[in-house]
Amino acid sequence: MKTEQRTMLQVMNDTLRMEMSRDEKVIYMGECVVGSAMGMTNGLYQEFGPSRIIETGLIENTMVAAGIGLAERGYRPIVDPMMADFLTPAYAAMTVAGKNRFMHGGKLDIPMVILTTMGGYLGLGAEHSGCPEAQVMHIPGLKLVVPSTIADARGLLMTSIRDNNPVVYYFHKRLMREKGPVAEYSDADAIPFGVADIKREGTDITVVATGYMVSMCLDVARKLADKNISVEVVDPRTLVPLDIQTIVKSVKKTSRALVVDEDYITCGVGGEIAMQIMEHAFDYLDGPIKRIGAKGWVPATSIDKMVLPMPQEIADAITELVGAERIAMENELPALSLYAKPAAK
Amino acid sequence: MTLTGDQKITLFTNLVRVRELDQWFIDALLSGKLPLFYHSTQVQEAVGVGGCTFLEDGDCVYATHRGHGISKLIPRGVSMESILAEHYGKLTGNCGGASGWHPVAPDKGFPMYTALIAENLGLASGTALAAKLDGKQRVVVSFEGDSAAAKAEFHEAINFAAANKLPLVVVIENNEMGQHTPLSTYLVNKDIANFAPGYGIPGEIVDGQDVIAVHEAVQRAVVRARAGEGPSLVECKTYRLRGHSEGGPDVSMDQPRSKEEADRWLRDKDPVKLFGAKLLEEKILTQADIDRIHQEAKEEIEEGLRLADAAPIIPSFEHLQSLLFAD
Repeated sequence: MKTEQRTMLQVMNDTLRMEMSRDEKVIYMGECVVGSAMGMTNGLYQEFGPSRIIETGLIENTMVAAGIGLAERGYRPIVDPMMADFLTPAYAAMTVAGKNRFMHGGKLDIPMVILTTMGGYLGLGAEHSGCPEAQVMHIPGLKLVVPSTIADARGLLMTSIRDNNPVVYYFHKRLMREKGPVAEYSDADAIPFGVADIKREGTDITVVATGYMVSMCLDVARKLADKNISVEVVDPRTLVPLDIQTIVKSVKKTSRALVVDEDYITCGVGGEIAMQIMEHAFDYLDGPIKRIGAKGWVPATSIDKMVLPMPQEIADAITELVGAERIAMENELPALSLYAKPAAK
Repeated sequence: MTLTGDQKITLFTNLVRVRELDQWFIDALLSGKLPLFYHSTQVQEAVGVGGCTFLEDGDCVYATHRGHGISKLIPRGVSMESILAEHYGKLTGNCGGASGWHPVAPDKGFPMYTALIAENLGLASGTALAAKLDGKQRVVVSFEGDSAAAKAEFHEAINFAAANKLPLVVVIENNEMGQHTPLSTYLVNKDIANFAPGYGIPGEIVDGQDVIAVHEAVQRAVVRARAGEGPSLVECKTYRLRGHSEGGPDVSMDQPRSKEEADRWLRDKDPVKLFGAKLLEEKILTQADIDRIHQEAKEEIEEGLRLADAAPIIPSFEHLQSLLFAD
């Protein structure tokens, strides 16, 4: 099969094109979806026209509510408010999306996707860097997808669009322009929800990581391997449904657990997963579970690393849990700007 | 459209059925026979009945909490049995007993509902967008109370519908009260139809006690929406006869509401009495007919209650869990 180097955005754009061709009920609507802000919908308006690519303007709550209205009538809307932070005014509609089927006795289905970017490490500050995963996990009736690789982004997007429930799909801004080898689109690429992926096998400690944290933890794991610390990295891929069995199986093998997530730490993803590990595998643990998350609102510019999880913090948690000496990490990330234009040569 | 004598009898019969069921709810709640709560719609019946009786199959309606939607549901053929069963958590209820009171019956054109005031307008705009994309000239009529007009969701959704020429008719049931708060405290512009020019859509004020006037105004907006000309705002001026919720306080801010005023509305502006008198005058109905229509509505409630009583309740927590996600 032919493979080529493509970015996550290009792959998601292709996936949208294929899914929209496959099912004429799929509609993409939201803020800057015609003149694509992120590149997600490049070319789709020209291909599918104004009845399939619908520009709503900045009406976050109404775009989600209207998506619910469309979905109940048999459409499969994908609603895009551009950034997860901007969903704040849409929590009313998102709560309705989660409750709707339940409170109406299962008599209606809401097949919709709220698809948007999330994440920090770009210096964009407190209102353009959020990963509000816990807020979604807390609403019964919403599924939550957080891809960490290009292949997962594609496979999970296919499943999200085909699912008959409201799905929130957050992909990381830091990952969306990274390139990787990608095979051609195939129907078999769809990845089922609730199946965690062991991104790296190890025996000393289980690190559960989501989104961009997966690649950061894999980098740390590779460096610690040189010091004979064997780290297993488990990526849940979907936080709702959560494949706790795979996580627990890993913890039973390693006896130690760390959860690394980019959302705000209090009442967050780490706390939830750590508690579920406790409920299922307490007797297998050799020590307390640790969690790492954002320590507060993300500040603008490069000082965001004061707040967000960083390689040294992850390495320190791991070495402490396995009882090893502290190992110094290179604690800088490659500079990345969403907006810088390369200088003309 | 000019109504025939039979159509007028249908309107009157619907007004009576709603009134009798509303009274039954009040009595049942206050005597401890009904769990939950109840938000009476007495003297507001003409807004729903006038707006909904002559919609077409395939049109959709979003109702409100007032009367738990009965002035909209009953004219469109939702059975008293399914409404009553829902209030008792029965599987045969409109929503399989899970909502308790939501005015939802997807097969009768009531797609869904949320208790968040004005949020239904966003859902309705999506239903209207689906209607537009389907290209079948279906319209969506979405009711809201006056307090909705003070909320962001109201303006966001109507503006979205206007910008996209969606087949949406927004009917404001202006009873001048938002729970215990009078309209004058939250709206400087007490005529909500006056917002319409700002959205670039027609706005009309109509006497909400006059079922024919409501019918005609809503139909004008429906015809326009069906023709693809976009949304309209119809404001029906009415009055909240009783407290926000039965058994609760009937106050405006910290003051009891005027009993004299309520009595006056019931005496002079009751839409059931007003329309009944008109049909007597036009010799379309006799007093004996009117008495019979009331009696038949009471019997319909008794029969609905008997069937609802016999229906099974939600059986288990597992059943509830199964409602959360579709396969």
